[in-house]
Amino acid sequence: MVQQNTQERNTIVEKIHFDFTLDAFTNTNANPTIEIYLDGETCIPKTQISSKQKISFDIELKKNNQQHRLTMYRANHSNKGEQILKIEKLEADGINLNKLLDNFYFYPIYPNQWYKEQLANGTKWPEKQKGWRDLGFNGKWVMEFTTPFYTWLLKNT
Amino acid sequence: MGDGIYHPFLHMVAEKHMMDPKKKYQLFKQNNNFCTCPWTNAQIYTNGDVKTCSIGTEVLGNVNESDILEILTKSNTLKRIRTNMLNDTPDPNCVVCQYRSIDDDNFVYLKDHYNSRIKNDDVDYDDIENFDLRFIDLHWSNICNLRCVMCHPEQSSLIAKDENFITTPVNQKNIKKIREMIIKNQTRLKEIYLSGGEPFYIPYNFTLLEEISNKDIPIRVNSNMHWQQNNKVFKALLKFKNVQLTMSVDALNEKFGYIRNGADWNTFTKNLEFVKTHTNFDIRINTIFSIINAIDICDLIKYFFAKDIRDITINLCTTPSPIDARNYPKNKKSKIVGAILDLIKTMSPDNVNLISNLKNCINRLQLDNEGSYEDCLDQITRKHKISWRSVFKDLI
Repeated sequence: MVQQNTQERNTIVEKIHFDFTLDAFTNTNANPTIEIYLDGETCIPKTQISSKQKISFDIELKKNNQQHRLTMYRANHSNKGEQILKIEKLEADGINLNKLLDNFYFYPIYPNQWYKEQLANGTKWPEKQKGWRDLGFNGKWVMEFTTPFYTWLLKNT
Repeated sequence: MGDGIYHPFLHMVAEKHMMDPKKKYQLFKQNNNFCTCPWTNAQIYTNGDVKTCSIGTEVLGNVNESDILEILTKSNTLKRIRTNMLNDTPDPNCVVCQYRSIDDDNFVYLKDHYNSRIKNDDVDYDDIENFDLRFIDLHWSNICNLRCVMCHPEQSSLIAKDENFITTPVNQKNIKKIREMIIKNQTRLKEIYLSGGEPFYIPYNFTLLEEISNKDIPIRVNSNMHWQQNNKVFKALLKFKNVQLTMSVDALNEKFGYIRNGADWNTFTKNLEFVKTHTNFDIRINTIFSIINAIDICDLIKYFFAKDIRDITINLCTTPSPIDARNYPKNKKSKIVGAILDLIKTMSPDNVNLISNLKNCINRLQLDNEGSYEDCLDQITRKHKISWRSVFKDLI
């Protein structure tokens, strides 16, 4: 029985291929970096984005009726000068998910000094920003979904 | 069932059919020909004919001749339609939706109406013999109080009487069977569509609505709006949370009464205002574009916009063919086209359906004329007290 449960746990219910088309713009010497995780497991290790490029990987979803988080950590902005990481396109199994990008959140790490200055001037920047595709701050971009993935996709498109 | 016969359809329970999610996604999002109707909807016509929907072109069977379950599961035509859909192949039954989809990608056609309401439900589309009742389209009687000029005996009992046309109605036993089928499946129903005839005068509608305990089911009703405010069907509809009432109207004032023979503009407007006082009613307009209202179409739309009614559908009149809009006087067509184009410029681009409908009107007007309408209108006039020449002066 235990063995059967283990087998059930390891059965791949869905395998989804993701393509992120990213681009970077900067007037500094450094390029943005990204790392992508599914629920804490690495999908893409730290990668520098210097120009338009496609980042591709597969995810395996082993259970139905589960919540998942696909997280892209965006880093390497010294907070001096301008540096933008742009999410140009998101695809799952070749299906364009750009319309869904409007629903996902980016959690910026605002530069401390700048954030304090903004506060002093009466502007409190929110903890998360919905639908951002041009990521000018370090931080994490999160796509939350449920399984089966295609059921979630049908419901949300 | 009181007849002692086992009816498997009536005992259908909500079995969980889990279709492969990816395949289901592909059907709903990537298949241009897929529609849920052959698996989930049935139209019962005034003579008992069964179709996939109100615009399906083929008769699948007749409830007066065969068991409805047999028709909806075993019909070879239905199996062919389902198979074609699964293979993303156009089926002749669905030519109306296909025609519209070619015109404009953003146009919402009937299959979108149904697909959007059921995409999150589990239905086994892999099985070409599966029928899982979620929608019902009841055109199950031709009882009507008007003689609209574009109507026919099968949809108006008054026209049938005038023309001594003998109709074969759905027999009482089958009415009961259909009603019981709906009641049995009421917890899963996504919509009941009532048309006719005039649904407010069809007694089966009252019985059905009263017997349904699930008042959450969205009800879609077409009406000519000519009924007393204490009408039993209307009162029964008040108990439902979500009623989409489609009002049939083609022109204002005197022309309205002429086109919808027997109708009265004051009665229409009085009932329109009455319905507007009930928040469970969502009002929309359905109009039929022909030579007799072509010149008025813009005024009609502006009238309802002024009343904050923006959900308007314009269908093209094809019968009787002489009054098809393409036969409008050639030398006056450009004036109407110009007026429609001017109206479109004032409309929000979000009103995709109406804009597409208006463009269809323009396309129809721009077709070559195919003959004269005078004889047809003379014939229609015989049923009226006044001559068409005094009402539709633009056609002289």
